[in-house]
Amino acid sequence: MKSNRIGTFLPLLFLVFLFLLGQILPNFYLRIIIEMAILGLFAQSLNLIMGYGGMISFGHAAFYGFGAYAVAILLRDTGMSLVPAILTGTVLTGVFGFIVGAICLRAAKLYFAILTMAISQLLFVLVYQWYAFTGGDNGIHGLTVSPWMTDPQHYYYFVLAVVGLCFFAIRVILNSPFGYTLRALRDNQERTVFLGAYVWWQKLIAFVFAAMFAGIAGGLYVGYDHMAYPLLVNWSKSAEPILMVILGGINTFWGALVGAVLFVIMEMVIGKITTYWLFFLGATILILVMFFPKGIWGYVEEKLAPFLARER
Amino acid sequence: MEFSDILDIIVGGLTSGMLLFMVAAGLTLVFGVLRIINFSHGAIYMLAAYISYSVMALFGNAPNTYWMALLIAPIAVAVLGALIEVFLLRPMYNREHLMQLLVTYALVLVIVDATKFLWGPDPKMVLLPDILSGRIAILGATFSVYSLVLILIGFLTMAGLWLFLNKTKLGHIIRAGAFDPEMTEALGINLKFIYTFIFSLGAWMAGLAGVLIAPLTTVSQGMDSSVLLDAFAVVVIGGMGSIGGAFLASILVGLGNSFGLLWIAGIAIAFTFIVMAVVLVVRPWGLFGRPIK
Amino acid sequence: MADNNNLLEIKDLKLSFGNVHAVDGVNLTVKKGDLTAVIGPNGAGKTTLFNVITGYYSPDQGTISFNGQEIGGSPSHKIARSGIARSFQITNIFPTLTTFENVQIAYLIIRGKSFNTVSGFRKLNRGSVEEILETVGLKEKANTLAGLLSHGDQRTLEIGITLACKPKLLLLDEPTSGMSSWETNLVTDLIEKISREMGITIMFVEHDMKVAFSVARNVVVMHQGQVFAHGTPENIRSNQEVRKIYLGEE
Repeated sequence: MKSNRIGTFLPLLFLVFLFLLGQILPNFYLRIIIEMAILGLFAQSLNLIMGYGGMISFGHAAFYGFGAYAVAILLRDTGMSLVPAILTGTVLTGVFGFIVGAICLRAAKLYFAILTMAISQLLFVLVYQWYAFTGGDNGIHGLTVSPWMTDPQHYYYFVLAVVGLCFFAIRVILNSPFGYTLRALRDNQERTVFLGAYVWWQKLIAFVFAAMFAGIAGGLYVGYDHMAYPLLVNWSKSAEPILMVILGGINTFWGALVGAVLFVIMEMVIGKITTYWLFFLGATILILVMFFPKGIWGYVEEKLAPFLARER
Repeated sequence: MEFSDILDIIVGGLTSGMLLFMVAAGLTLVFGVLRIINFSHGAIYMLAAYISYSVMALFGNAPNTYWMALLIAPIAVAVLGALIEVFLLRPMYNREHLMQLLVTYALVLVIVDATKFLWGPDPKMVLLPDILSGRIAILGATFSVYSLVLILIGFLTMAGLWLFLNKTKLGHIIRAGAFDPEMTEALGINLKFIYTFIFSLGAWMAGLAGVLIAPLTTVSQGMDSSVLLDAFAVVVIGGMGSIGGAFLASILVGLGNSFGLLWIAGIAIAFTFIVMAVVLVVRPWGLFGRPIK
Repeated sequence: MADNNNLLEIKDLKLSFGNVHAVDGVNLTVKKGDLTAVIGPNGAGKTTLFNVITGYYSPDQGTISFNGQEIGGSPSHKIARSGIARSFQITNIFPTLTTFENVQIAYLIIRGKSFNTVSGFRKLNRGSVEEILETVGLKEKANTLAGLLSHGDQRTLEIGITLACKPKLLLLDEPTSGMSSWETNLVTDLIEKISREMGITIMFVEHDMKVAFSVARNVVVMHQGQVFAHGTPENIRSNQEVRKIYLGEE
């Protein structure tokens, strides 16, 4: 039981640490942490279905982008301020996720991966072409949010609170009977059917959750960058959370966040040295997949296992 | 609208459809046999186009050196494909699907950046040989010879693949391997070789398509992802793993795009995906695929 | 006709795959509290029969009445919820969950709690799960990952999972397959105990005749997709026809 307490205590300590960082770090670094947190949430939302549910989605950017565009359009066309816009955007993304999920979950495994990718690309084309509504390839620029939110330090705290809450919510979901049913489905779907599980609904609801959290991340991104553009929906954006989850460690909770942090750092550091940072990203993934399939955090967790509560 | 105009549109649509099919066929073949989604297919296609440029430059850049490029570049990427299969994919067959996807995706990043490093960001021109660059008149309309040749190649590819898979011994083995790998192995057939061969063949086809399209456009960064996504759409429409499905879907998409352009400018990219959306809702496993749960 | 003592009544059940008549007109009645062994040569249709009863396949023809309700052709999850739990010929557990969680997740899913997204999973129904683990003798290994258990323990865990489904009828498909004779004894003792102490009706497929005859109170012999004979072990043992078609082949 003692180890369990450490499991809840450490994240809180980490939050306090981040809170204090907000007081001392210059805006430049706060912006980096904001980006890490948003991408961390994006990655975690995918981890929910991919890591725990075994559903490989190659179109998760559809929901990140949908959330981003929903918030951007709400900010542009209605008098809504950021917080209600994000809330509305989240609900809309959930509805969109329900439709996409209902279509894609008619197929399984690799077919599911291809269908998710195909549908996200459909959204990309739509966003790219529909100048009147989405700004086409230019995207939507120059959005205004309240002056309070424009201040990087304030926005830092806002993102910290939202992402923190979402992580907590995802944690609760994963530790619930629903979350364990998801793991059971990943392990052995056939068996759960004979236990009386409604597999399709179970997966669809998980998919909608994942879509909504990705939508929140997308909305937070618009609040940070004050714009939305088609690349947010593109297939390369769908690959990012997958890479982060693998980088950090699939089948671990904190791996998604660790992966996002490493991803942003790598992009900055390598991107500064060479324009070919994607080459190194690709090479890194190959090495990880070949030799360290459990990811960085997965490796750390293995070493720390005796000291921490079981986090699977 | 004159009859010759319609003919013109049909030929234009079939040309782009066949080029798409050349890419999609390799993609769907690899998926059907290896059960691997090869994201790097587009990157290999682009790489071959760049190689064809260099081959021609090496031989003095005369238009007729295109034939050399057409021979060498696809073989070069086929060799690369075999190496990829042996060293990167083979260790992955016992692992989760996700790991296989990641390998082919990582290859996209590596290959694309490598082409950028080797050939630079500027577009490269590839010239057509004299024989192919003319135009001929048929039924009152004039067509570029190259368009007609491309359509012919597309149909020949389809016919060739069909004959290969249905009428040769190796083809039967490949289909058996795709249907039931364990049983086929148990019959003493070396699937390792089959897998390497198919992946290499897929790469060769991607390479051929890359070299064939090079003279029509320019060889440039970004040509990989646009063709890959269109090819995926075609594969999804036709039914994953179905070559015949990919063929018909390519024609459908090619013709649809060229006729669609008459009414709505800019529909070109969207049309493919609109068809795909309809197919996904009605038959998620594609026109010629089988539902797999 | 309606006999309240009959838990399962199968009438004229047929299922074929192409030209293969896997289940070819099965008539079978299982009384409440019975402990029935299903034997028969390979390909006799034993597993297919289980698959039809549990809704994995829909029958081509015939009826399956369970507890007075027709279940033939219903989806598996509904049949599971009506009180038929099954184990599988091949080990079929959740390898990345612990032994405890394997039983617990079964316990919660069958009770329709798998859509609960807020309660802490680990704290739920600990007592009942512990009781089941106690029954099957896996209490010491409660926190071991199921994938790391020995083969025998995994097979026993399967039975534990089925017990969590508060079954009225337990279908065990070769529960002793691949086990040492010592492990086999443990499992047959367990099956007897479940039948005796919990009063659960059990049907199990068994390859080893000795085991089947020593445990079961009733024996069903299947042959070519049909129930060839049904009776007490003594009856079956002395049935000349059975000796001919079945024992003769072994």
